[in-house]
Amino acid sequence: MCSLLHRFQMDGLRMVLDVASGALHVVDETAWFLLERLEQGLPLADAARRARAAGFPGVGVAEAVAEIQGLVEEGRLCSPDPAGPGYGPPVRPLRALCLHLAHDCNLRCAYCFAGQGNYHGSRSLMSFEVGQRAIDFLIAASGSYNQVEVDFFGGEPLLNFDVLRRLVRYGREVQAVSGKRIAFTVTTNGVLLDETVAAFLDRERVGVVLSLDGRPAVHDAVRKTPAGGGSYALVAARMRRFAAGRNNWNCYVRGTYTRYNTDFSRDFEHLAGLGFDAVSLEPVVAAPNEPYALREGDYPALAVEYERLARLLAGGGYEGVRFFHFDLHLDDGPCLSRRVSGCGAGTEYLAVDPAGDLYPCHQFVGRPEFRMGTVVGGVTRVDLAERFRASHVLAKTACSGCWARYLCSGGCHANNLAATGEIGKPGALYCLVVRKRIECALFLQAQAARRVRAAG
Amino acid sequence: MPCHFYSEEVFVRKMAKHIVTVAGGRLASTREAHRACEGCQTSCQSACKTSCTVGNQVCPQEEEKPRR
Repeated sequence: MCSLLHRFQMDGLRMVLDVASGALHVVDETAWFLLERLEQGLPLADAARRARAAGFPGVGVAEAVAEIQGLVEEGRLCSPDPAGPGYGPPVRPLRALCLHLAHDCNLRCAYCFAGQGNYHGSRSLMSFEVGQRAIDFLIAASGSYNQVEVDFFGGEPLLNFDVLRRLVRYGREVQAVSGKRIAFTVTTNGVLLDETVAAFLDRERVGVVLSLDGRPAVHDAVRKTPAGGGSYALVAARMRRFAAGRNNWNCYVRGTYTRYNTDFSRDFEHLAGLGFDAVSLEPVVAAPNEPYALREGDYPALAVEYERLARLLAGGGYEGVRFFHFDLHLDDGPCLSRRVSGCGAGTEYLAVDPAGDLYPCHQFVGRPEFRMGTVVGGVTRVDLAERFRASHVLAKTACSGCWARYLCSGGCHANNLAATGEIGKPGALYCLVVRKRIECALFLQAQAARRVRAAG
Repeated sequence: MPCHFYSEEVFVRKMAKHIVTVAGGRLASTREAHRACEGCQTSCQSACKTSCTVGNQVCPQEEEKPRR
């Protein structure tokens, strides 16, 4: 029996992912036929007989059988699940904080999960003192880790740039004393990304995630100024200058696609054309009644787009440009426990609101039922932390048998909650999209390997 | 090669006739190896900031190893 395989085809390539080992193979028609029979529960000898009966030449069948046997012995085909019964992720200390420097925003994006920046509460900015306590809390709670992460988030964090600047400087002091390296990032809409800010972020080696959705009309349809106009003209040139100024170092463009632009591969082309070399385009998270919300019926169009995007990258026209979700790491990717643990929200990763309250991640901020404690008192809702830790991919009914489980890890808790009402249950569209993205990513790796082989 | 980040990672281990192995598969060997290590990023802090597909993460310890 060989049930842990995922076989799929794209552009004439037959690919087989050995789910449990993570090995990826490109196979010919004979091996494909044999593996299909193994999946159905036939012994290899019987599968070989069926192959010969179906007209495959005997010599070829014998060769393919030998190759399959060799890979099975090496643990690269039909390998047993390494997690096994009872396996769960280890308890890990806190590693990352998302600091909500501003519950306010200078844009009014239609799809904003944060209620146009204020998280459905009053508009507020984090004080330096709260940020300082948050960094102290992170250092104290990070156990033996010698590297921790702080992301400045909002709303729009650059509305509170002075505090951001002081916190980075404070972080450097703490780093020198504690010996723990702090990696800083900021997620910004770019409106305030002027030369002063850029110079500071460059000098302090702060990673940057830029919110830009793609083509001007696409961006402007949802990312509006308070006066109701589009914001593309306001931010795109600034972002380009900024990225070029640091030679794209640690600079990601993170766009959102909605029902308005299911042809989002065109937005990738636009963003790559602007000179950005690292692009992430994510499906919008929205209530189903919103006009821009994606629906399950949109999936066929989305699948076509992901495939188009994969072909664009495979075609060689975008050398050096990364599309985040196609950038899978099969051989140097995360270890099993990381793959099982998932994003770390609620345990290794917490969000801090301007008042210093802790939440499992940025998407839960402002929801009282998910308030976990404070930066002063630490995590008091241990039950919530345990709930998030226990909601790992192997514990999710929909995921534990899915072929993509060790590449996906069970999805975003907040997305799951929005789609199904449960953090442990991903929505149908989400799963379809993630599986398609992974297939396209595997296709790209197979394509590249084929070229290597062809080149001799 | 189409993209620099694929070309660095992709290598063909077996030049067999019917099955070409693109990635070797090492998941089982990491079951205990990196349980307590601390190098990798939490995926929620990564570029997407929403869907935390862990396969996009790099293990720094594996990254440093020479390729076969």
